[in-house]
Amino acid sequence: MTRRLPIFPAVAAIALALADAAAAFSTWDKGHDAGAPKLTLAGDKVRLVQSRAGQALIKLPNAKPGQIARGSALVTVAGHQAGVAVGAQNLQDVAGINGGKLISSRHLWIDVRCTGLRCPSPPVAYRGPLSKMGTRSLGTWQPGTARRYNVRVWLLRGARPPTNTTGDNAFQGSQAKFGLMWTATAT
Amino acid sequence: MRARGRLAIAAALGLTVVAAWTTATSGASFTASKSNPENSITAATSFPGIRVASGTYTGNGSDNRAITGVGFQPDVVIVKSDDNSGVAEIRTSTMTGDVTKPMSGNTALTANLIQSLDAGGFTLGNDNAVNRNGRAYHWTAFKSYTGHMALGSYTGNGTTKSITGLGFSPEYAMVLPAANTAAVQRMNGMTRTFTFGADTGSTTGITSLDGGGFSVGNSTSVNSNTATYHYIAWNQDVDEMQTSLYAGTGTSHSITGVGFQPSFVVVHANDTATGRAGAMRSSALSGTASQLFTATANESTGITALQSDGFQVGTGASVDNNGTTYHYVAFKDKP
Repeated sequence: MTRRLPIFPAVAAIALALADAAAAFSTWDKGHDAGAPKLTLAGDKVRLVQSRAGQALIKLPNAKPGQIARGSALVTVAGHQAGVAVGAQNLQDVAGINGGKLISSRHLWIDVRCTGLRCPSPPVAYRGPLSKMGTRSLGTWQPGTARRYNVRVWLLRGARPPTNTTGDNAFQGSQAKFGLMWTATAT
Repeated sequence: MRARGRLAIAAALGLTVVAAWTTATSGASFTASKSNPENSITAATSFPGIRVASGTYTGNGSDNRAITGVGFQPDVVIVKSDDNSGVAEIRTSTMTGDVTKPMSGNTALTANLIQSLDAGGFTLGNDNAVNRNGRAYHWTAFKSYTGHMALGSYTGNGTTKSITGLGFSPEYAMVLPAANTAAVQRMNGMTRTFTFGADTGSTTGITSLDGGGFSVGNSTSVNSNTATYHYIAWNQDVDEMQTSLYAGTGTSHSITGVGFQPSFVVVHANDTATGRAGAMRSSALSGTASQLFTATANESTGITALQSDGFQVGTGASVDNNGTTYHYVAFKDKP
Protein backbone atom coordinates (compact mmCIF):
# COMPACT_ATOMS: atom_id res chain seq x y z
CA MET A 1 0.00 0.00 0.00
CA THR A 2 1.41 3.31 -0.96
CA ARG A 3 1.06 6.17 1.46
CA ARG A 4 1.31 9.74 0.14
CA LEU A 5 2.88 12.35 2.40
CA PRO A 6 0.76 15.43 2.95
CA ILE A 7 1.93 18.50 1.00
CA PHE A 8 1.31 21.05 3.77
CA PRO A 9 4.29 20.24 6.06
CA ALA A 10 6.69 20.29 3.11
CA VAL A 11 5.42 23.66 1.93
CA ALA A 12 5.64 25.00 5.48
CA ALA A 13 9.26 23.87 5.78
CA ILE A 14 10.21 25.53 2.51
CA ALA A 15 8.42 28.71 3.55
CA LEU A 16 10.24 28.74 6.86
CA ALA A 17 13.60 28.28 5.15
CA LEU A 18 12.87 31.06 2.67
CA ALA A 19 11.72 33.37 5.44
CA ASP A 20 14.88 32.74 7.39
CA ALA A 21 17.01 33.37 4.35
CA ALA A 22 15.09 36.54 3.59
CA ALA A 23 15.50 37.74 7.14
CA ALA A 24 19.24 37.12 7.00
CA PHE A 25 19.52 38.88 3.66
CA SER A 26 17.49 41.85 4.81
CA THR A 27 19.74 42.41 7.81
CA TRP A 28 22.96 42.45 5.83
CA ASP A 29 24.76 45.49 7.27
CA LYS A 30 25.01 48.03 4.52
CA GLY A 31 27.29 50.18 6.68
CA HIS A 32 30.12 47.69 6.40
CA ASP A 33 33.29 48.41 4.52
CA ALA A 34 33.12 47.11 1.03
CA GLY A 35 36.46 45.42 1.49
CA ALA A 36 35.49 43.35 4.48
CA PRO A 37 31.77 42.71 4.55
CA LYS A 38 30.34 41.07 7.64
CA LEU A 39 26.97 39.67 8.41
CA THR A 40 25.02 41.48 11.07
CA LEU A 41 21.85 40.03 12.38
CA ALA A 42 18.94 42.20 13.34
CA GLY A 43 16.60 41.95 16.25
CA ASP A 44 17.93 39.54 18.81
CA LYS A 45 21.15 38.96 16.88
CA VAL A 46 24.27 40.99 17.66
CA ARG A 47 24.58 44.41 16.09
CA LEU A 48 27.42 46.89 16.38
CA VAL A 49 26.91 50.60 15.88
CA GLN A 50 29.80 53.00 15.81
CA SER A 51 29.29 56.74 15.51
CA ARG A 52 32.21 57.28 13.14
CA ALA A 53 31.99 54.08 11.12
CA GLY A 54 33.62 54.31 7.74
CA GLN A 55 35.45 57.52 8.65
CA ALA A 56 38.94 58.19 9.93
CA LEU A 57 39.22 58.99 13.61
CA ILE A 58 42.72 60.35 13.34
CA LYS A 59 43.96 62.81 10.75
CA LEU A 60 46.93 64.90 11.73
CA PRO A 61 49.22 66.58 9.22
CA ASN A 62 52.34 68.50 10.19
CA ALA A 63 52.69 66.60 13.46
CA LYS A 64 55.48 67.41 15.89
CA PRO A 65 57.03 65.07 18.45
CA GLY A 66 54.80 64.92 21.47
CA GLN A 67 51.84 66.42 19.66
CA ILE A 68 48.70 64.37 20.18
CA ALA A 69 46.04 63.62 17.59
CA ARG A 70 42.64 62.86 19.09
CA GLY A 71 39.53 61.07 17.92
CA SER A 72 36.42 59.74 19.59
CA ALA A 73 33.62 57.34 18.74
CA LEU A 74 30.53 56.01 20.47
CA VAL A 75 30.33 52.24 20.26
CA THR A 76 27.03 50.49 20.86
CA VAL A 77 26.17 46.80 20.96
CA ALA A 78 22.58 45.71 20.46
CA GLY A 79 20.58 42.56 20.03
CA HIS A 80 22.78 40.12 21.89
CA GLN A 81 25.50 39.90 24.47
CA ALA A 82 28.82 40.17 22.70
CA GLY A 83 32.53 40.13 23.16
CA VAL A 84 33.81 43.44 21.83
CA ALA A 85 37.30 44.15 20.55
CA VAL A 86 39.24 46.78 18.73
CA GLY A 87 42.22 46.13 16.52
CA ALA A 88 44.70 48.01 14.41
CA GLN A 89 44.90 46.91 10.80
CA ASN A 90 46.40 47.84 7.47
CA LEU A 91 49.43 49.48 9.05
CA GLN A 92 51.43 51.40 6.47
CA ASP A 93 54.69 53.28 6.90
CA VAL A 94 55.86 55.94 4.47
CA ALA A 95 59.39 57.05 5.25
CA GLY A 96 60.15 60.74 5.32
CA ILE A 97 63.09 62.70 3.99
CA ASN A 98 65.43 61.27 6.61
CA GLY A 99 64.26 57.67 6.26
CA GLY A 100 62.50 57.18 9.57
CA LYS A 101 59.44 54.92 9.70
CA LEU A 102 57.04 55.81 12.47
CA ILE A 103 55.24 52.51 12.95
CA SER A 104 57.95 49.95 12.48
CA SER A 105 60.33 51.91 14.68
CA ARG A 106 57.66 51.96 17.39
CA HIS A 107 57.86 55.74 17.36
CA LEU A 108 54.11 56.11 16.93
CA TRP A 109 52.03 55.38 20.00
CA ILE A 110 48.34 54.95 20.46
CA ASP A 111 46.08 55.15 23.47
CA VAL A 112 42.58 53.70 23.25
CA ARG A 113 40.45 54.16 26.30
CA CYS A 114 36.84 54.28 27.39
CA THR A 115 35.63 57.55 28.76
CA GLY A 116 32.51 58.31 30.75
CA LEU A 117 30.62 56.68 33.56
CA ARG A 118 29.90 53.30 32.01
CA CYS A 119 33.45 52.16 31.42
CA PRO A 120 35.00 48.85 32.32
CA SER A 121 37.81 48.82 34.81
CA PRO A 122 40.48 49.54 33.79
CA PRO A 123 39.19 51.82 31.03
CA VAL A 124 42.40 51.69 29.01
CA ALA A 125 42.13 49.14 26.22
CA TYR A 126 45.64 49.71 24.97
CA ARG A 127 48.46 52.18 25.34
CA GLY A 128 51.71 51.56 23.54
CA PRO A 129 53.33 51.38 20.14
CA LEU A 130 50.80 51.13 17.33
CA SER A 131 52.83 48.31 15.84
CA LYS A 132 52.19 46.16 18.92
CA MET A 133 48.51 46.87 19.33
CA GLY A 134 47.05 43.96 17.42
CA THR A 135 43.49 43.26 18.59
CA ARG A 136 42.49 44.20 22.10
CA SER A 137 39.46 42.96 23.99
CA LEU A 138 37.04 45.55 25.31
CA GLY A 139 35.22 42.93 27.36
CA THR A 140 31.78 41.38 27.14
CA TRP A 141 28.95 43.82 26.64
CA GLN A 142 25.29 43.32 27.37
CA PRO A 143 22.91 44.30 24.58
CA GLY A 144 22.19 47.99 24.75
CA THR A 145 25.60 48.89 26.11
CA ALA A 146 27.02 52.10 24.68
CA ARG A 147 30.51 53.30 25.48
CA ARG A 148 32.55 56.18 24.19
CA TYR A 149 36.14 55.49 23.27
CA ASN A 150 38.81 58.13 22.90
CA VAL A 151 41.73 57.38 20.62
CA ARG A 152 44.93 59.36 20.91
CA VAL A 153 47.94 58.94 18.66
CA TRP A 154 51.26 60.71 18.92
CA LEU A 155 54.86 60.73 17.84
CA LEU A 156 57.14 59.94 20.71
CA ARG A 157 59.41 62.74 21.76
CA GLY A 158 62.90 61.37 22.05
CA ALA A 159 66.02 62.66 23.64
CA ARG A 160 68.10 65.37 22.10
CA PRO A 161 68.77 64.38 18.48
CA PRO A 162 72.46 63.74 17.82
CA THR A 163 72.26 65.27 14.36
CA ASN A 164 69.85 67.00 12.05
CA THR A 165 68.87 63.70 10.46
CA THR A 166 68.86 61.26 13.36
CA GLY A 167 66.94 60.85 16.59
CA ASP A 168 63.54 62.52 16.36
CA ASN A 169 64.72 64.30 13.24
CA ALA A 170 64.82 60.98 11.39
CA PHE A 171 61.03 61.07 11.29
CA GLN A 172 60.60 64.45 9.68
CA GLY A 173 58.05 64.13 6.90
CA SER A 174 57.27 60.49 7.70
CA GLN A 175 53.70 59.29 7.40
CA ALA A 176 51.78 56.48 9.04
CA LYS A 177 48.41 55.11 7.96
CA PHE A 178 46.27 52.58 9.75
CA GLY A 179 42.75 51.37 10.26
CA LEU A 180 40.86 50.57 13.42
CA MET A 181 38.43 47.64 13.36
CA TRP A 182 35.77 47.34 16.05
CA THR A 183 34.13 43.94 16.32
CA ALA A 184 31.34 42.43 18.37
CA THR A 185 31.03 38.67 18.48
CA ALA A 186 27.87 37.20 19.96
CA THR A 187 28.49 35.09 23.02
CA MET B 1 -0.40 4.84 10.42
CA ARG B 2 -1.04 7.97 8.42
CA ALA B 3 -1.28 9.99 11.60
CA ARG B 4 2.06 8.61 12.84
CA GLY B 5 3.71 9.68 9.59
CA ARG B 6 2.41 13.21 9.86
CA LEU B 7 3.54 13.35 13.46
CA ALA B 8 7.03 12.22 12.48
CA ILE B 9 7.26 14.87 9.77
CA ALA B 10 6.00 17.53 12.15
CA ALA B 11 8.56 16.48 14.73
CA ALA B 12 11.35 16.59 12.15
CA LEU B 13 10.26 20.03 11.05
CA GLY B 14 10.14 21.19 14.61
CA LEU B 15 13.64 19.93 15.28
CA THR B 16 14.88 21.66 12.16
CA VAL B 17 13.37 24.96 13.20
CA VAL B 18 14.70 24.64 16.76
CA ALA B 19 18.17 23.81 15.44
CA ALA B 20 18.11 26.78 13.10
CA TRP B 21 16.88 29.06 15.85
CA THR B 22 19.54 27.83 18.23
CA THR B 23 22.27 28.39 15.69
CA ALA B 24 21.03 31.84 14.86
CA THR B 25 20.75 33.02 18.43
CA SER B 26 23.78 31.33 19.92
CA GLY B 27 25.95 33.98 18.30
CA ALA B 28 28.85 31.60 18.02
CA SER B 29 29.22 32.23 14.38
CA PHE B 30 27.97 35.84 14.13
CA THR B 31 30.20 38.85 14.29
CA ALA B 32 29.42 42.45 13.57
CA SER B 33 32.12 44.96 12.85
CA LYS B 34 32.76 48.56 11.95
CA SER B 35 35.98 50.18 10.94
CA ASN B 36 37.65 53.56 10.90
CA PRO B 37 39.84 53.33 7.85
CA GLU B 38 42.54 55.65 6.54
CA ASN B 39 43.65 57.14 9.79
CA SER B 40 46.87 59.01 9.19
CA ILE B 41 49.47 61.06 10.93
CA THR B 42 52.14 62.88 9.02
CA ALA B 43 55.18 64.30 10.72
CA ALA B 44 56.22 67.85 9.96
CA THR B 45 59.18 68.24 7.65
CA SER B 46 60.85 70.34 10.32
CA PHE B 47 60.32 69.94 14.04
CA PRO B 48 59.89 73.15 16.01
CA GLY B 49 61.50 74.17 19.22
CA ILE B 50 62.01 77.30 21.22
CA ARG B 51 61.31 80.60 19.56
CA VAL B 52 63.86 83.36 19.71
CA ALA B 53 63.29 86.81 18.29
CA SER B 54 65.20 90.03 18.62
CA GLY B 55 64.59 93.61 17.73
CA THR B 56 65.28 97.21 18.44
CA TYR B 57 63.30 100.32 19.29
CA THR B 58 63.90 103.91 20.24
CA GLY B 59 62.61 105.01 23.62
CA ASN B 60 59.89 107.67 23.79
CA GLY B 61 59.46 108.08 27.53
CA SER B 62 55.79 107.11 27.38
CA ASP B 63 54.33 104.71 29.88
CA ASN B 64 52.40 101.62 28.73
CA ARG B 65 54.20 101.50 25.42
CA ALA B 66 53.50 98.38 23.41
CA ILE B 67 56.30 96.74 21.48
CA THR B 68 54.79 94.57 18.77
CA GLY B 69 56.02 92.42 15.93
CA VAL B 70 57.70 89.77 18.07
CA GLY B 71 55.77 87.11 16.21
CA PHE B 72 54.66 85.13 19.25
CA GLN B 73 53.65 85.69 22.85
CA PRO B 74 56.96 85.60 24.67
CA ASP B 75 57.67 83.72 27.85
CA VAL B 76 60.84 85.69 28.42
CA VAL B 77 61.92 89.16 27.33
CA ILE B 78 65.31 90.75 27.90
CA VAL B 79 65.74 94.48 27.23
CA LYS B 80 69.00 96.41 27.34
CA SER B 81 69.73 99.96 26.36
CA ASP B 82 72.55 100.59 23.95
CA ASP B 83 73.97 103.13 26.36
CA ASN B 84 74.34 103.23 30.10
CA SER B 85 70.71 104.07 30.83
CA GLY B 86 70.27 100.91 32.85
CA VAL B 87 71.18 97.29 33.36
CA ALA B 88 69.64 94.51 31.29
CA GLU B 89 66.10 93.78 32.40
CA ILE B 90 64.31 90.44 32.24
CA ARG B 91 60.72 89.44 32.64
CA THR B 92 59.30 85.93 32.55
CA SER B 93 55.78 84.60 32.16
CA THR B 94 55.91 83.34 35.75
CA MET B 95 56.09 86.90 37.07
CA THR B 96 52.74 88.48 37.77
CA GLY B 97 51.81 92.12 37.82
CA ASP B 98 54.00 95.01 36.78
CA VAL B 99 57.35 93.52 37.77
CA THR B 100 60.68 92.94 36.06
CA LYS B 101 63.99 91.65 37.34
CA PRO B 102 67.12 93.74 36.80
CA MET B 103 69.73 91.23 35.67
CA SER B 104 72.71 92.94 37.26
CA GLY B 105 73.01 94.14 40.82
CA ASN B 106 70.98 93.30 43.90
CA THR B 107 67.66 94.80 42.95
CA ALA B 108 64.30 93.23 43.68
CA LEU B 109 61.54 92.83 41.12
CA THR B 110 60.77 96.32 39.96
CA ALA B 111 57.79 98.07 38.41
CA ASN B 112 57.67 100.34 35.36
CA LEU B 113 60.07 98.29 33.26
CA ILE B 114 58.67 95.38 31.18
CA GLN B 115 55.11 95.68 32.39
CA SER B 116 53.56 92.72 30.65
CA LEU B 117 54.14 89.99 28.07
CA ASP B 118 51.47 90.17 25.43
CA ALA B 119 50.26 88.35 22.37
CA GLY B 120 52.82 89.29 19.76
CA GLY B 121 54.96 91.46 22.00
CA PHE B 122 55.34 93.17 25.35
CA THR B 123 54.54 96.44 27.09
CA LEU B 124 57.01 98.88 28.58
CA GLY B 125 56.86 101.40 31.33
CA ASN B 126 58.81 104.62 31.11
CA ASP B 127 61.78 103.80 33.30
CA ASN B 128 65.03 104.92 31.74
CA ALA B 129 66.31 101.35 31.70
CA VAL B 130 63.76 100.42 29.05
CA ASN B 131 62.19 103.54 27.57
CA ARG B 132 64.22 106.70 27.87
CA ASN B 133 63.23 109.22 25.25
CA GLY B 134 65.48 109.12 22.21
CA ARG B 135 67.65 106.22 23.37
CA ALA B 136 68.14 102.98 21.49
CA TYR B 137 67.21 99.63 23.03
CA HIS B 138 67.60 96.04 21.96
CA TRP B 139 65.34 93.26 23.04
CA THR B 140 65.38 89.49 22.80
CA ALA B 141 62.27 87.36 23.35
CA PHE B 142 61.89 83.63 23.94
CA LYS B 143 58.93 81.35 23.72
CA SER B 144 59.28 78.06 25.51
CA TYR B 145 58.68 74.65 23.99
CA THR B 146 57.98 71.59 26.07
CA GLY B 147 61.05 69.50 26.57
CA HIS B 148 63.30 72.25 25.29
CA MET B 149 62.77 75.13 27.67
CA ALA B 150 60.96 75.40 30.97
CA LEU B 151 59.97 78.19 33.30
CA GLY B 152 58.77 78.05 36.85
CA SER B 153 59.09 79.40 40.33
CA TYR B 154 59.79 77.97 43.74
CA THR B 155 59.98 78.99 47.37
CA GLY B 156 63.32 78.79 49.11
CA ASN B 157 63.96 76.77 52.25
CA GLY B 158 67.26 78.28 53.31
CA THR B 159 69.22 75.05 53.06
CA THR B 160 69.45 73.04 49.86
CA LYS B 161 66.79 72.25 47.35
CA SER B 162 66.27 70.36 44.11
CA ILE B 163 64.00 71.73 41.42
CA THR B 164 62.56 68.76 39.56
CA GLY B 165 59.94 67.90 36.99
CA LEU B 166 61.36 69.85 34.09
CA GLY B 167 61.15 66.79 31.87
CA PHE B 168 64.68 67.19 30.61
CA SER B 169 68.19 67.65 31.86
CA PRO B 170 68.98 71.34 31.46
CA GLU B 171 72.28 72.60 30.15
CA TYR B 172 71.58 76.17 31.11
CA ALA B 173 69.59 77.63 33.98
CA MET B 174 68.85 81.11 35.28
CA VAL B 175 67.44 81.87 38.71
CA LEU B 176 65.80 85.25 39.18
CA PRO B 177 65.11 86.14 42.82
CA ALA B 178 62.03 88.19 43.56
CA ALA B 179 63.86 89.86 46.41
CA ASN B 180 66.87 92.15 46.29
CA THR B 181 69.52 89.56 45.59
CA ALA B 182 71.35 89.02 42.33
CA ALA B 183 70.03 87.03 39.40
CA VAL B 184 72.36 84.13 38.61
CA GLN B 185 73.07 81.63 35.87
CA ARG B 186 74.87 78.36 35.39
CA MET B 187 75.93 76.80 32.11
CA ASN B 188 76.83 73.16 31.72
CA GLY B 189 80.48 72.69 32.65
CA MET B 190 80.80 75.81 34.75
CA THR B 191 82.49 75.19 38.07
CA ARG B 192 80.43 77.82 39.85
CA THR B 193 77.25 79.81 39.56
CA PHE B 194 77.76 83.30 38.23
CA THR B 195 75.77 86.47 38.23
CA PHE B 196 75.28 88.35 34.98
CA GLY B 197 77.58 91.07 36.20
CA ALA B 198 81.26 90.89 37.10
CA ASP B 199 81.80 88.31 39.81
CA THR B 200 83.96 85.33 40.61
CA GLY B 201 81.13 82.90 41.14
CA SER B 202 79.43 81.14 44.01
CA THR B 203 79.57 77.53 45.15
CA THR B 204 76.22 77.77 46.93
CA GLY B 205 74.12 78.99 44.02
CA ILE B 206 72.91 76.58 41.35
CA THR B 207 75.02 73.70 42.59
CA SER B 208 74.25 71.24 39.79
CA LEU B 209 72.28 70.72 36.62
CA ASP B 210 70.47 67.43 37.16
CA GLY B 211 68.54 64.76 35.31
CA GLY B 212 65.16 66.41 35.56
CA GLY B 213 66.02 69.86 36.87
CA PHE B 214 68.67 71.50 38.98
CA SER B 215 69.77 71.88 42.57
CA VAL B 216 70.45 74.98 44.58
CA GLY B 217 72.49 75.66 47.67
CA ASN B 218 71.75 78.23 50.33
CA SER B 219 72.94 81.36 48.54
CA THR B 220 70.44 84.16 48.96
CA SER B 221 70.42 84.45 45.17
CA VAL B 222 68.78 81.06 44.91
CA ASN B 223 67.44 79.85 48.24
CA SER B 224 66.57 82.17 51.09
CA ASN B 225 63.97 80.67 53.36
CA THR B 226 60.42 81.55 52.22
CA ALA B 227 61.72 83.74 49.40
CA THR B 228 60.32 83.44 45.88
CA TYR B 229 62.51 82.57 42.93
CA HIS B 230 61.73 82.40 39.24
CA TYR B 231 63.75 80.18 36.98
CA ILE B 232 64.31 79.43 33.33
CA ALA B 233 66.00 76.27 32.11
CA TRP B 234 67.03 75.26 28.62
CA ASN B 235 67.77 71.89 27.13
CA GLN B 236 70.62 71.64 24.68
CA ASP B 237 69.42 70.69 21.23
CA VAL B 238 71.35 70.04 18.07
CA ASP B 239 69.80 72.84 16.10
CA GLU B 240 68.43 75.35 18.57
CA MET B 241 70.57 75.58 21.70
CA GLN B 242 74.21 74.81 22.24
CA THR B 243 76.42 75.44 25.23
CA SER B 244 80.14 74.90 25.40
CA LEU B 245 83.36 76.64 26.35
CA TYR B 246 86.43 78.17 24.78
CA ALA B 247 89.74 79.53 25.92
CA GLY B 248 90.38 83.23 25.68
CA THR B 249 93.37 84.17 23.58
CA GLY B 250 93.43 87.93 23.77
CA THR B 251 93.08 88.13 20.01
CA SER B 252 89.92 88.23 17.99
CA HIS B 253 88.84 84.77 16.89
CA SER B 254 85.84 82.72 15.90
CA ILE B 255 84.15 80.16 18.09
CA THR B 256 82.94 77.39 15.82
CA GLY B 257 81.20 74.06 16.20
CA VAL B 258 77.95 75.52 17.45
CA GLY B 259 76.14 73.74 14.64
CA PHE B 260 73.98 76.63 13.51
CA GLN B 261 74.03 80.41 13.14
CA PRO B 262 72.86 81.71 16.48
CA SER B 263 70.09 84.23 16.97
CA PHE B 264 71.33 85.10 20.44
CA VAL B 265 74.53 84.36 22.36
CA VAL B 266 75.38 84.76 26.04
CA VAL B 267 79.00 84.54 27.23
CA HIS B 268 80.33 84.52 30.77
CA ALA B 269 83.81 83.82 32.04
CA ASN B 270 84.29 80.86 34.34
CA ASP B 271 86.81 82.94 36.21
CA THR B 272 87.00 82.42 39.95
CA ALA B 273 89.74 84.98 40.44
CA THR B 274 88.75 88.00 38.41
CA GLY B 275 85.19 89.21 37.98
CA ARG B 276 84.18 89.61 34.36
CA ALA B 277 80.75 90.80 33.32
CA GLY B 278 78.57 88.64 31.14
CA ALA B 279 78.06 89.62 27.51
CA MET B 280 75.30 89.06 25.00
CA ARG B 281 74.58 89.70 21.39
CA SER B 282 71.41 89.25 19.44
CA SER B 283 70.92 89.16 15.71
CA ALA B 284 69.35 92.60 15.95
CA LEU B 285 72.67 94.22 16.80
CA SER B 286 74.68 95.46 13.87
CA GLY B 287 78.35 95.90 13.18
CA THR B 288 80.64 94.66 15.92
CA ALA B 289 78.38 95.76 18.78
CA SER B 290 77.47 93.58 21.71
CA GLN B 291 76.07 94.29 25.13
CA LEU B 292 76.97 93.70 28.73
CA PHE B 293 74.28 92.98 31.30
CA THR B 294 75.55 95.85 33.43
CA ALA B 295 74.63 99.52 32.96
CA THR B 296 77.30 99.94 30.36
CA ALA B 297 77.18 101.20 26.80
CA ASN B 298 77.51 98.71 23.97
CA GLU B 299 81.04 97.52 23.41
CA SER B 300 82.72 96.83 20.10
CA THR B 301 85.28 94.29 21.27
CA GLY B 302 82.89 91.76 22.78
CA ILE B 303 80.86 89.36 20.66
CA THR B 304 81.65 91.03 17.36
CA ALA B 305 79.64 88.83 14.99
CA LEU B 306 77.19 85.94 14.80
CA GLN B 307 78.44 83.51 12.18
CA SER B 308 77.17 80.49 10.30
CA ASP B 309 78.61 77.96 12.76
CA GLY B 310 79.11 80.10 15.81
CA PHE B 311 80.26 83.60 16.64
CA GLN B 312 83.28 85.81 16.75
CA VAL B 313 84.79 87.43 19.82
CA GLY B 314 86.93 90.53 19.97
CA THR B 315 89.58 91.26 22.55
CA GLY B 316 87.35 92.53 25.34
CA ALA B 317 87.94 91.08 28.78
CA SER B 318 84.31 90.02 29.02
CA VAL B 319 84.80 87.51 26.21
CA ASP B 320 88.46 86.98 25.36
CA ASN B 321 91.05 87.52 28.07
CA ASN B 322 94.08 85.42 27.33
CA GLY B 323 94.07 82.30 29.44
CA THR B 324 90.55 82.70 30.77
CA THR B 325 87.93 80.04 30.16
CA TYR B 326 84.62 81.29 28.85
CA HIS B 327 81.34 79.47 28.62
CA TYR B 328 78.69 80.37 26.13
CA VAL B 329 75.11 79.56 25.27
CA ALA B 330 73.93 80.01 21.70
CA PHE B 331 70.26 80.01 20.77
CA LYS B 332 68.55 79.73 17.43
CA ASP B 333 64.96 80.43 16.55
CA LYS B 334 63.21 77.18 15.64
CA PRO B 335 59.70 78.00 14.45
